[in-house]
Amino acid sequence: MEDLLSNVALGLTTAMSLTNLFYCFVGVLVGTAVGILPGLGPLATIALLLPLTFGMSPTSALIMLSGIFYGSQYGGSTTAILIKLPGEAAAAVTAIDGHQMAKKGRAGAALATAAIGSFFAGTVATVLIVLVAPPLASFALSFGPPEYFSLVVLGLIFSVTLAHGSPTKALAMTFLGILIGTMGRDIYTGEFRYTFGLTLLEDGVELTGLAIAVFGLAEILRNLETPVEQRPVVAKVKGLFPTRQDLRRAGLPVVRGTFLGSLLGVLPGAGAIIASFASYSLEKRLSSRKEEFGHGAIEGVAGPESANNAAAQTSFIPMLTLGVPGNAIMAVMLGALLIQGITPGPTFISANPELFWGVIASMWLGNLMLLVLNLPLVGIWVKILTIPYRHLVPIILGVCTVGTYSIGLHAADLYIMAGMGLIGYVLLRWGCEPAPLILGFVLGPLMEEYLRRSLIISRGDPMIFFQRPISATLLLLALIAIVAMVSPRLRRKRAEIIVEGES
Amino acid sequence: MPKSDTKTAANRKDLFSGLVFVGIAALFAGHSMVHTIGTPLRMGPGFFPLIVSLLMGMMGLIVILQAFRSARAEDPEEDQHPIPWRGALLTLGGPIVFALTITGLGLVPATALIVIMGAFASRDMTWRGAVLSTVLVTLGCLAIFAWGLGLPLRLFGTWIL
Amino acid sequence: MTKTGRSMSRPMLTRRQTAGAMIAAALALSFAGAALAQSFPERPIRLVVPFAPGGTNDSVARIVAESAQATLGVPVVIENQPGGASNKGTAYVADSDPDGYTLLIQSDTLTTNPIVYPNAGYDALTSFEPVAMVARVPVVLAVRKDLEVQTIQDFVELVRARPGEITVGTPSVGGGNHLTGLLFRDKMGLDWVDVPYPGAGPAVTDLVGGHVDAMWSMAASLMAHQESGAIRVLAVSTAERSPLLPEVPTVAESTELKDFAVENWQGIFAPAGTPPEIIEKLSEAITAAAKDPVAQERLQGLGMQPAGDGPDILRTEIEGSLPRWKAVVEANNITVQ
Repeated sequence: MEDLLSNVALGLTTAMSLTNLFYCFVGVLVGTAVGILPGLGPLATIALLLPLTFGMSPTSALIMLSGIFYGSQYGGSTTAILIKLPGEAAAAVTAIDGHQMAKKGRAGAALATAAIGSFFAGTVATVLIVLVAPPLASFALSFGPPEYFSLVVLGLIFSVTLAHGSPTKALAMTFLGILIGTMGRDIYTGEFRYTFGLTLLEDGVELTGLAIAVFGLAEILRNLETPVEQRPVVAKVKGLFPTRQDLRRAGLPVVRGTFLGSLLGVLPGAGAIIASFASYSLEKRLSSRKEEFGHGAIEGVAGPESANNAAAQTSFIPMLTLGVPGNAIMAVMLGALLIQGITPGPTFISANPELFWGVIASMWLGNLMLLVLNLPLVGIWVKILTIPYRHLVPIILGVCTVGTYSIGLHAADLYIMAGMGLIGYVLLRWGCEPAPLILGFVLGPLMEEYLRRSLIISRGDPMIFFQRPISATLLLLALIAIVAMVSPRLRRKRAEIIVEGES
Repeated sequence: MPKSDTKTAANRKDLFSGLVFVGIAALFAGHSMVHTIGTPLRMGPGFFPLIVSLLMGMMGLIVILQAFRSARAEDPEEDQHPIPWRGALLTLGGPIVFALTITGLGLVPATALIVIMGAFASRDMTWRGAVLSTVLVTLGCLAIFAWGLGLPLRLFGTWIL
Repeated sequence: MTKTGRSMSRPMLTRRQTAGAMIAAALALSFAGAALAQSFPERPIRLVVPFAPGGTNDSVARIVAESAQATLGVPVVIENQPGGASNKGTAYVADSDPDGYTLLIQSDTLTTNPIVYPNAGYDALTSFEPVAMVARVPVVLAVRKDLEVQTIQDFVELVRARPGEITVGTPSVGGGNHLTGLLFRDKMGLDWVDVPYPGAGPAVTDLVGGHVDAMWSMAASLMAHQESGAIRVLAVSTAERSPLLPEVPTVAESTELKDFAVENWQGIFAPAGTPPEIIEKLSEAITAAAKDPVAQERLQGLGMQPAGDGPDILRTEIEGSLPRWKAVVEANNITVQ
């Protein structure tokens, strides 16, 4: 315990040096801006700024880069709430209920809840890292391809709960998302799949562009349907901050989201996206007000936002403690450290205590800075909603287009964005929602990759999924979830039949 | 609203979306033949998408069936507004035009072009408002993407300079 | 002057005059070329990395760029162009103007990809002028912590005892790592299960987690884990022991394959047709950059051996390894589309 306290003290003193505070601030500021901007994401930004870090001390470098990363989680939810445009794919879930809240004049409450929830999550995640980083890391390592497969199956089943309309359509959208995800190069054989001879599809569809298209662009078209006179006046902003009732309702979802996100974030490859989707599904399942979901339930914002941020923080664990990067962003940071001569791994913490504890402490400080930054900004953001829609459209269109193009400078991404916007809009008119599509797109290819890899490793034996304890447990949960979802419907059907029989 | 109208509206939504799903499923399933399918235990690149497209096709069929059943409890307030053709064309055309002109026109004119398109996507846009939006947004994009992030994009492209 | 007047009123050039004019023109052009080289470089140089940021190639590029900027006097800007298993960016540079302002960093993927992907879009020998070799990396065989083998010979025996059971991960399909492993497998007549991964990150993660038994990979990705004991490196592929891992024996010394010698490298390339004077300038600057102590330290941190060799060595390396890789690819039937 004493050791722990002295480490924390070391961390705080390191993080609170003027230089490091400065870099932390720069990081979270840039991160927030990048998160708000559609298209360009934390990965590209971190890569762009990498050369800057060569001249810095490794501690400052990592503090700044990590600030950009979790800062972008805060920023991404802002546009998701205001204009249903997720600045980061991970904010797609927030766009569902968050934007509905904005339409009802409660944008302020939504934004503030997102910020507060994220701060709580960031704090708890930091504490978790301090206390249980090594066990969490070994837990992460025990996940092999079969375990990931089962996890993804579980996640996909939850995708049905994302839609507030027809579950059949939601499932169909999930499958469609999976199919879109398979377009591109096959990992195992290297051949092009489902590109239908089009070069522009050869590298597959880009996630951020897809999210912008099916959420943002489709929403613009939807809004353009209503002629100006009939357009519902955006309800007067009812106060900038969440009411006490809001906070009470948001409380438990924030806690649950935090723990769910912390756990999922540790698993390499799972990441913030799954965390937010999973949290949304969980909250919807547990809520006594299920019908509100999709129409502005604050739980649908609080939970996913906390999960998001928690996952972003804990995704550092495998990289720092094991030297194993959980996602592309961690890979870049790992590279940054290696170039500086620092080798993350089991000996990392003891060999570089200042660096490790300093970064952890700065994560918490960064979250604090973000809270302080974002809460006052809520007022400004809400003002944006008062801009007449005819001016918002060109702004959104301009920033989205340049932003998406800036990701890889591929014209293909823009064509795909336009195409998917059209498809997304058309399907939206027919009652099919975009969220399950995004989840299918992210998880489908993963599921296939892990399925194929598991079968290769087991030399064709499908029992591998049931012989390994974690995998078997997850599949069991998936089965329970299916039964839980189907049985109320069956019971209702049976009740209907009985009633009809009696009449 | 007479019951039959709601019923037709519900039918159309389900019918069309179901058809889209079945159509896309058929497209993917058909194309799977091009790739090696392999066996369940030694999957080729075509196996998984084939299964998924079959599942999606099934969902599509169920949705179509639901279209022909008794009227589903759709939101009666949700009238189907007409498709905003002009707006759709201009909005979706934006990224396409940008992609086509970015190297030729460069960042400044290409951005200005699509911003104007976006401005006129709304029926109630005035010329004055459009010009104002264009100038501000183009400058903003310049500031953020070209200067702020230092992206290697030519400000004025090969057709101009 | 009438339209036809010109040809009538002036005599045609004599053959000598024509020859003289041509010689003069040639001299002028070569001076111009030299003059171009004299003033080179005048504006920023783009170093295209056909991989996503954060990978080994990307990191090496950034290290070299940083050091080379000083000598060249202009910024060297990194441009990531991932896609098509690195073919996109590579083909892009192959088609770029040969003026020395667009360069490419590549590893031996440059050699192997055109064999594996017939539509790669470039040719390993004719599309590029090698500029410099900046780093060398051995390919190593690493096994998971709990696998009961201590040397590569043990490993061979284990695979022989359990044919078709041992799982060997590979970070890419058809890349240098993959092919090195297959070369070994073919020569020793072994039978193991190939498990492809979409990159070094996931592959190493699974090895550390013990979900695959072994892996052939660039030493760079594994150094940290070797140090921490999470995995064990059994052998290096080079002809002689690598200074990066001096205690690890080579394949040649521990098995019957006495002439097994494979080395991965990282090199800088310019499009074919770039004037030799410009190549020379670039080569000087980049080899100096690779030999710069700061850069050397950083490269070693990544698990690479700094090189700093000139274009000829690079070219020899490519020419030498081409037939060998062709044979492996054909024997294992890896061509794609």
